[in-house]
Amino acid sequence: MALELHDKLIQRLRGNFKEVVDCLDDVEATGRVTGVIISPVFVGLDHEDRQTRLWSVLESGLTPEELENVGPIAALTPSEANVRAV
Amino acid sequence: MDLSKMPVVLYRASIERINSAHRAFNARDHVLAMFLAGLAVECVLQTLALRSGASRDPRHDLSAWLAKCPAALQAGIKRDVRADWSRLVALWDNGIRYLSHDGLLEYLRDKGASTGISGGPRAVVRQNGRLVLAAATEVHKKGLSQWLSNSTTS
Repeated sequence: MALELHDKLIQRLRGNFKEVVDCLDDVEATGRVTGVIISPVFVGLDHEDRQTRLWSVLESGLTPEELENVGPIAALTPSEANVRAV
Repeated sequence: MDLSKMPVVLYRASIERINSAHRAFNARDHVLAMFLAGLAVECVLQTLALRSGASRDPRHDLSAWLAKCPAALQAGIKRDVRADWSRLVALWDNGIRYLSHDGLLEYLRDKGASTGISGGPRAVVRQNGRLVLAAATEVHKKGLSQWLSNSTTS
Protein backbone atom coordinates (compact mmCIF):
# COMPACT_ATOMS: atom_id res chain seq x y z
CA MET A 1 0.00 0.00 0.00
CA ALA A 2 2.78 2.42 0.91
CA LEU A 3 4.43 1.90 -2.47
CA GLU A 4 1.24 2.70 -4.39
CA LEU A 5 0.62 5.77 -2.26
CA HIS A 6 4.24 6.82 -2.63
CA ASP A 7 4.01 6.60 -6.43
CA LYS A 8 0.74 8.50 -6.54
CA LEU A 9 2.05 11.20 -4.23
CA ILE A 10 5.16 11.73 -6.36
CA GLN A 11 3.07 11.78 -9.55
CA ARG A 12 0.88 14.52 -8.10
CA LEU A 13 3.89 16.56 -7.00
CA ARG A 14 5.68 16.16 -10.34
CA GLY A 15 2.48 17.18 -12.11
CA ASN A 16 2.49 20.44 -10.18
CA PHE A 17 6.11 21.19 -9.40
CA LYS A 18 7.79 19.60 -12.45
CA GLU A 19 11.22 19.32 -10.85
CA VAL A 20 11.07 17.05 -7.84
CA VAL A 21 13.62 14.81 -6.13
CA ASP A 22 11.92 12.00 -4.26
CA CYS A 23 13.50 11.33 -0.87
CA LEU A 24 10.40 9.86 0.71
CA ASP A 25 10.47 6.63 2.69
CA ASP A 26 7.91 3.87 2.86
CA VAL A 27 7.51 2.90 6.50
CA GLU A 28 6.99 -0.82 6.25
CA ALA A 29 5.66 -1.28 9.75
CA THR A 30 2.82 1.22 9.35
CA GLY A 31 2.27 1.54 5.59
CA ARG A 32 2.83 5.29 5.79
CA VAL A 33 4.93 7.57 3.59
CA THR A 34 7.19 10.24 5.09
CA GLY A 35 10.53 11.96 4.48
CA VAL A 36 11.88 14.75 2.31
CA ILE A 37 10.88 16.35 -0.99
CA ILE A 38 13.40 18.50 -2.85
CA SER A 39 12.29 21.02 -5.44
CA PRO A 40 13.25 24.47 -6.72
CA VAL A 41 9.66 25.61 -6.13
CA PHE A 42 10.63 26.02 -2.47
CA VAL A 43 13.34 28.59 -3.20
CA GLY A 44 12.59 31.86 -1.42
CA LEU A 45 9.80 30.36 0.69
CA ASP A 46 9.92 30.03 4.46
CA HIS A 47 8.98 26.84 6.31
CA GLU A 48 5.30 27.76 6.55
CA ASP A 49 4.91 28.67 2.89
CA ARG A 50 6.71 25.51 1.78
CA GLN A 51 4.38 23.34 3.82
CA THR A 52 1.35 25.21 2.52
CA ARG A 53 2.52 24.74 -1.08
CA LEU A 54 3.25 21.07 -0.54
CA TRP A 55 0.06 20.17 1.27
CA SER A 56 -2.19 22.13 -1.08
CA VAL A 57 -1.07 19.77 -3.85
CA LEU A 58 -1.41 16.67 -1.67
CA GLU A 59 -4.81 17.62 -0.30
CA SER A 60 -6.20 18.24 -3.78
CA GLY A 61 -4.66 15.11 -5.27
CA LEU A 62 -5.10 12.43 -2.63
CA THR A 63 -8.17 10.96 -0.97
CA PRO A 64 -8.80 11.50 2.77
CA GLU A 65 -7.85 7.85 3.37
CA GLU A 66 -4.59 8.34 1.50
CA LEU A 67 -3.83 11.56 3.35
CA GLU A 68 -4.18 9.67 6.62
CA ASN A 69 -1.16 7.67 5.55
CA VAL A 70 1.07 10.59 4.63
CA GLY A 71 3.39 11.48 7.48
CA PRO A 72 5.49 14.59 8.05
CA ILE A 73 7.42 15.80 5.01
CA ALA A 74 10.34 18.22 5.00
CA ALA A 75 10.63 20.51 1.97
CA LEU A 76 14.14 21.46 0.83
CA THR A 77 15.54 23.36 -2.12
CA PRO A 78 18.17 21.67 -4.32
CA SER A 79 20.93 23.89 -2.93
CA GLU A 80 19.94 23.14 0.67
CA ALA A 81 19.95 19.42 -0.07
CA ASN A 82 23.07 19.72 -2.18
CA VAL A 83 21.49 17.82 -5.09
CA ARG A 84 20.25 18.65 -8.57
CA ALA A 85 16.47 18.39 -9.14
CA VAL A 86 15.31 16.20 -12.05
CA MET B 1 12.76 -0.82 20.17
CA ASP B 2 15.28 -2.42 17.79
CA LEU B 3 18.38 -0.25 18.22
CA SER B 4 19.58 -1.07 14.70
CA LYS B 5 16.58 0.93 13.45
CA MET B 6 17.20 3.86 15.78
CA PRO B 7 18.84 6.23 13.27
CA VAL B 8 15.93 6.10 10.83
CA VAL B 9 13.40 6.38 13.65
CA LEU B 10 15.17 9.49 14.96
CA TYR B 11 15.46 10.91 11.43
CA ARG B 12 11.71 10.65 10.91
CA ALA B 13 11.06 12.03 14.41
CA SER B 14 13.25 15.03 13.64
CA ILE B 15 11.07 16.00 10.68
CA GLU B 16 7.97 15.59 12.80
CA ARG B 17 9.41 17.68 15.62
CA ILE B 18 10.48 20.62 13.44
CA ASN B 19 7.06 20.71 11.80
CA SER B 20 5.43 20.54 15.23
CA ALA B 21 7.65 23.37 16.45
CA HIS B 22 6.40 25.64 13.67
CA ARG B 23 2.79 24.69 14.36
CA ALA B 24 3.27 25.42 18.08
CA PHE B 25 4.78 28.82 17.29
CA ASN B 26 1.89 29.70 14.98
CA ALA B 27 -0.48 28.67 17.75
CA ARG B 28 1.40 31.10 20.04
CA ASP B 29 2.72 28.33 22.25
CA HIS B 30 6.22 29.80 22.23
CA VAL B 31 7.59 27.70 25.07
CA LEU B 32 6.65 24.46 23.34
CA ALA B 33 7.90 25.78 20.00
CA MET B 34 11.29 26.60 21.48
CA PHE B 35 11.64 23.19 23.12
CA LEU B 36 10.53 21.25 20.03
CA ALA B 37 12.84 23.23 17.74
CA GLY B 38 15.92 22.21 19.70
CA LEU B 39 14.63 18.68 20.09
CA ALA B 40 14.32 18.38 16.30
CA VAL B 41 17.99 19.31 15.97
CA GLU B 42 18.97 16.89 18.73
CA CYS B 43 17.10 14.11 16.92
CA VAL B 44 18.82 14.72 13.59
CA LEU B 45 22.27 15.00 15.21
CA GLN B 46 21.70 11.76 17.11
CA THR B 47 20.59 10.14 13.85
CA LEU B 48 23.83 11.06 12.13
CA ALA B 49 26.05 10.28 15.10
CA LEU B 50 24.51 6.83 15.64
CA ARG B 51 24.75 6.06 11.93
CA SER B 52 28.43 6.94 12.14
CA GLY B 53 28.89 4.39 14.88
CA ALA B 54 28.66 6.59 17.98
CA SER B 55 27.34 4.98 21.12
CA ARG B 56 24.11 6.12 22.72
CA ASP B 57 24.38 8.94 25.22
CA PRO B 58 21.66 9.92 27.68
CA ARG B 59 22.84 13.54 27.83
CA HIS B 60 21.10 16.20 25.76
CA ASP B 61 24.15 18.21 24.83
CA LEU B 62 23.89 19.50 21.24
CA SER B 63 27.61 20.32 20.99
CA ALA B 64 28.56 16.85 22.23
CA TRP B 65 26.27 15.23 19.65
CA LEU B 66 27.63 17.40 16.83
CA ALA B 67 31.15 16.35 17.80
CA LYS B 68 30.12 12.72 17.11
CA CYS B 69 28.67 13.56 13.69
CA PRO B 70 30.52 13.27 10.35
CA ALA B 71 33.21 15.91 9.83
CA ALA B 72 31.38 17.13 6.71
CA LEU B 73 28.37 18.15 8.79
CA GLN B 74 30.52 19.84 11.42
CA ALA B 75 32.31 21.81 8.70
CA GLY B 76 29.05 22.66 6.91
CA ILE B 77 27.46 24.02 10.05
CA LYS B 78 30.52 26.12 10.89
CA ARG B 79 30.74 27.38 7.31
CA ASP B 80 27.08 28.03 6.45
CA VAL B 81 25.02 28.43 9.62
CA ARG B 82 27.53 29.31 12.33
CA ALA B 83 25.41 32.12 13.82
CA ASP B 84 22.31 29.90 13.91
CA TRP B 85 24.26 27.14 15.62
CA SER B 86 25.72 29.54 18.20
CA ARG B 87 22.28 30.94 18.98
CA LEU B 88 20.77 27.50 19.34
CA VAL B 89 23.52 26.24 21.65
CA ALA B 90 23.33 29.43 23.70
CA LEU B 91 19.57 29.40 24.22
CA TRP B 92 18.30 25.82 23.99
CA ASP B 93 18.35 23.38 26.84
CA ASN B 94 16.53 20.10 27.26
CA GLY B 95 15.24 21.41 30.58
CA ILE B 96 13.01 23.92 28.74
CA ARG B 97 10.44 21.14 28.61
CA TYR B 98 9.95 21.59 32.37
CA LEU B 99 9.43 25.35 32.18
CA SER B 100 6.23 27.35 32.26
CA HIS B 101 6.01 30.62 30.33
CA ASP B 102 7.22 32.48 33.42
CA GLY B 103 9.91 29.90 34.01
CA LEU B 104 11.20 30.37 30.49
CA LEU B 105 11.12 34.14 30.91
CA GLU B 106 13.33 33.83 34.00
CA TYR B 107 15.64 31.41 32.17
CA LEU B 108 15.99 33.86 29.25
CA ARG B 109 16.64 36.80 31.57
CA ASP B 110 19.35 34.81 33.36
CA LYS B 111 20.99 34.25 29.97
CA GLY B 112 20.78 37.95 29.12
CA ALA B 113 18.45 37.16 26.23
CA SER B 114 15.85 39.74 27.18
CA THR B 115 18.12 42.72 26.58
CA GLY B 116 17.04 45.04 23.79
CA ILE B 117 13.62 43.49 23.27
CA SER B 118 10.87 46.06 23.59
CA GLY B 119 7.49 45.07 24.93
CA GLY B 120 6.54 43.02 27.94
CA PRO B 121 7.35 39.51 29.11
CA ARG B 122 5.41 37.90 26.27
CA ALA B 123 7.47 39.79 23.72
CA VAL B 124 10.69 38.46 25.26
CA VAL B 125 9.53 34.85 25.08
CA ARG B 126 7.99 35.30 21.61
CA GLN B 127 11.09 36.94 20.14
CA ASN B 128 13.48 34.36 21.58
CA GLY B 129 11.15 31.59 20.45
CA ARG B 130 11.19 33.04 16.95
CA LEU B 131 14.99 33.28 16.92
CA VAL B 132 15.53 29.75 18.23
CA LEU B 133 12.98 28.31 15.81
CA ALA B 134 14.61 30.06 12.84
CA ALA B 135 18.06 28.91 13.93
CA ALA B 136 16.94 25.33 14.53
CA THR B 137 15.21 25.21 11.15
CA GLU B 138 18.43 26.12 9.34
CA VAL B 139 20.60 23.71 11.34
CA HIS B 140 18.01 20.95 10.89
CA LYS B 141 18.19 21.39 7.11
CA LYS B 142 21.93 20.83 7.24
CA GLY B 143 21.31 17.62 9.13
CA LEU B 144 18.73 16.43 6.63
CA SER B 145 21.11 17.19 3.79
CA GLN B 146 23.82 15.13 5.47
CA TRP B 147 21.42 12.23 5.97
CA LEU B 148 20.33 12.36 2.33
CA SER B 149 23.91 12.46 1.09
CA ASN B 150 24.25 8.84 2.17
CA SER B 151 20.79 7.74 1.05
CA THR B 152 19.31 6.83 -2.32
CA THR B 153 17.26 9.51 -4.09
CA SER B 154 15.25 9.41 -7.32
